Amino acid sequence: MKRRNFLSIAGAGAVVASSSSLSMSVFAAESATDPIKIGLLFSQSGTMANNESLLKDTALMTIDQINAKGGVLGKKVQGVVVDPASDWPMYAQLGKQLIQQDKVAAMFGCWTSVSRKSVLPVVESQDSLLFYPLHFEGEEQSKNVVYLNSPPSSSVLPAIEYLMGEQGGDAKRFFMLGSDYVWPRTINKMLKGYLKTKNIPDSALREQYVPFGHSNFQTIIREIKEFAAQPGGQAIVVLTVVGDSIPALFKEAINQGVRASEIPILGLDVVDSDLEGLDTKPLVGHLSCWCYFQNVENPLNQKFKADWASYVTTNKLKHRPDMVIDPMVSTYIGLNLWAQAATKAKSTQTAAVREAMAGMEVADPAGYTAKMDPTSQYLWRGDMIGSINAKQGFDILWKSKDIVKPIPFSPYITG
Amino acid sequence: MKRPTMLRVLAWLMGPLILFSIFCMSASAQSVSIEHRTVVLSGLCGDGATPGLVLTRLVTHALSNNEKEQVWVRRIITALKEGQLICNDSDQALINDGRSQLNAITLEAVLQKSSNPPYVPSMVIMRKVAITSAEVNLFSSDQSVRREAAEQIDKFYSLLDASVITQILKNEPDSEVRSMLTLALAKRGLKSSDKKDQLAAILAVSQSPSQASRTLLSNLLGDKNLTDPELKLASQTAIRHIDQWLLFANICSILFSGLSYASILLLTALGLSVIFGLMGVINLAHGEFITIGAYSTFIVEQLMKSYAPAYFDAYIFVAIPIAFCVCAIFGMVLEYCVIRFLYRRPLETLLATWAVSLAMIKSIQLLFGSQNVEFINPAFLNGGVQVFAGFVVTYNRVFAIILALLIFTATLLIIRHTRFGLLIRATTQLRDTARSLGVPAERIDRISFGLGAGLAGLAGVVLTQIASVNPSMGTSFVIDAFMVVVLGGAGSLIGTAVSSLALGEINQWIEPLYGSVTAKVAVLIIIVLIIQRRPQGLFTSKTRT
Repeated sequence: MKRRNFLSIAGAGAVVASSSSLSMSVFAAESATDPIKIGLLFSQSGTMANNESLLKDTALMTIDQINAKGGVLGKKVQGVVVDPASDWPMYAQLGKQLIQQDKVAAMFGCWTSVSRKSVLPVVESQDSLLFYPLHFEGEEQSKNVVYLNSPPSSSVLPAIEYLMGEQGGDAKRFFMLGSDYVWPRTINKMLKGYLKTKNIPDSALREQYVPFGHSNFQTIIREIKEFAAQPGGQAIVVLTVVGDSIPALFKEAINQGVRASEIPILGLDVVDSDLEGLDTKPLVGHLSCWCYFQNVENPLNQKFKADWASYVTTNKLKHRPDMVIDPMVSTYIGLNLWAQAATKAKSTQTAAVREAMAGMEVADPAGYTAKMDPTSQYLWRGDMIGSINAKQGFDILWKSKDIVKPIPFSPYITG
Repeated sequence: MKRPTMLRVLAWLMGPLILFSIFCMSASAQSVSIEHRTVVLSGLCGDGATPGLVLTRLVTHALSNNEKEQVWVRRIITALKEGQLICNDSDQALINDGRSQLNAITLEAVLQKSSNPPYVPSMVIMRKVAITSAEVNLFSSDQSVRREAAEQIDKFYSLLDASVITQILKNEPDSEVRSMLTLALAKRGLKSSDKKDQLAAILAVSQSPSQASRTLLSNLLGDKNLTDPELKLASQTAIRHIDQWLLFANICSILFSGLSYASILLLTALGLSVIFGLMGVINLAHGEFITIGAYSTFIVEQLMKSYAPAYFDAYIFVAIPIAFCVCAIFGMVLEYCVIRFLYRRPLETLLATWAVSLAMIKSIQLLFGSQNVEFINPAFLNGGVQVFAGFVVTYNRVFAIILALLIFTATLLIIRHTRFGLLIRATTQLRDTARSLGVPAERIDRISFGLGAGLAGLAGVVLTQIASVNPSMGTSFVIDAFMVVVLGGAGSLIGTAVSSLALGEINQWIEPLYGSVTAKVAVLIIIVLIIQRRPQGLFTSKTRT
């Protein structure tokens, strides 16, 4: 008896622990007067927790801001938080639950492409809207997904072009290293197609993939060094490794003496939070490309950063108050876009919001005015290359003059 | 008699005069140097900036001036490297040292601070900064700084200013630095038109075998203008010589990576080997003990940083006993509260420990947040040493290997040669007999579980130096740990050690050939095959159960 009692208590405890956030929001829903619900599908545990919990809190902050301005259509907006625990099929399951049980007006969520692909059939069959704040491999277009970040043709290729130019150090050979899933593989496929048109021979390319969560980079860093020393000109690393593997790779690179002046690493998924806990002095000069870096100077960005800092401190969140990354800004833009569109459409129905959104402009803390492409449902954003500085952040090395037309389907991917 | 007095009077008269003129001279020298510095830095800021030229001028300035100017040049270059340089709105260069902003020419604090973003060098300029910094560091009086600089020079041999290096070579007292600089010059000499020079250069380059030197020689061989058979032969021999070295270096590197991977596997599996192997408890919360060990290290690190900054680097050693004790206590509490009710009921144990594991992850998340925890590695664990060309050994890995060996030996000694170890073995092998002979089996269970948890905590300490630390870090290690213990044979510590070494080495030998995904698959298949043949694992302890 005793044992069984104990087990059931332990079991109940575990269930409560894993779904506490969910049940809390359900309670809140009953007491509030009919708010508009927004589903937040971001992992708070597992390998993506570091990054996705930032987006969850940004979304909640933006919702607070929208509510402070009187909400949408006279109603309060409410974020319904779930935790898919970095488990891809869970995204679909919880997404369905958000739409069917919680009756959310739209969802914000996902970091990796696998998780988006997992939710995609759900939003399509339920005709809901998923706002996706990450840059990704492109090659997808759904009327049920709002793509808030740039596809690679308009974000990665300009960066590669810069690195191949005279100022960028005349890169001639490319070591493509990624985590083994759809985003890195598609990016590299596109890159290979693009480099072919630039007359880069296959012998100057090397492609390598590591499993998710891989942390032993000894061999790979050694291979990179060897590759860089081989004939054929300047080598660079195009890094599409994600999650905890990024700091592990950088640590090994520092220890084995890889410096940006010899072998620059262009990390396509590297954000400020990946540099936390690293001494970045030996990493200065490695690169990343996004639509936003926090060191951009403009009033809206100042305000956004200040808002975030005060939100983190007043709510005693475990995030760094002084760190803002592109996907957070994208989430922020996305929520404002949704609020603008719902206000304009005077409805939160998917079709009405979608129609209102087409061609809509929204202020971007990156210093541009982002614009929703009416045909592809991708956002026009600016493009920037950041260079890692000694203070665990990025300085802006290059930025596009204006917003860039998103090209969802890359012409360089054949077959 | 007369003369000296006159001289003395003269001296009296001249003394102040000389002093005065020296004063004047130094004052004018000061203004001359300011003027010089202004010229040197011109073109750093503003439209149409020419930072490349500024860097060249910096080197010449350091070369032709006194130590004071060299210090200034070094300051400017450090500012460039560390992103401290700012161009203000009137195109003046400022140095932001964190507290105040200095005028880059006079190094005096300026009143009007600029809020402009720091100057970000392009890739080309960054390379140039690296070489400039190395060239300037060659003037340093510190021998180790000069050696490091010479290594840099060797790396960027194609960008260096040959005349500067030749000039430095003349005055360089250290033979190692001299030989590195000569090598760098030799690499350029390969393109020389004089055959004698070329032969000497080929020889010099082959004396320092590396992939880079091989590339250099093969480029030379591929050059259509190279017709001289003697040169061809010399470079072919040199390439063969280098190839042998590279092969050797490669083998050493793979062995070392295998060893280091094995040490991590061993560390994470050792605790499980006690808990699962000896006690037969399937503890899915094992990974969380690793996490707790890592977070204990984090707390020790934070405390040492604030209270004993002088001994900061020693935190890793302080953390070893603390992490062990913290985890051991947690382990014993877990055993007392949960596990002891579940002995011999593996399915319930599995579920309960899994729940505990989830609860622990969430609690750590509540306490510390889900982000990666920031660790400052002790200085002696940063970086690595090149044993010989192509074979780099990093300190954190060496540390892990040594610690794994020590901990393993200690555990083995405890289990084999102490009274406590005897009791553990007696309890696990023939529980009822041991009990009837007066062994306090319950207490032994608790202590062994604590030992296992403590060992996992030690793994956590070492992992802080290698992997990133966050609440869910443990989950990625627990599977590997089970794999190692099952393969090695439950109950055998030697088996655990052998299987982790085997898995580590196999993994690292396959990885460079077929990639890390294949390596992981291959290792799993090997394990399945071995377990099919020997379900009890590689090593089995003889029991009478």
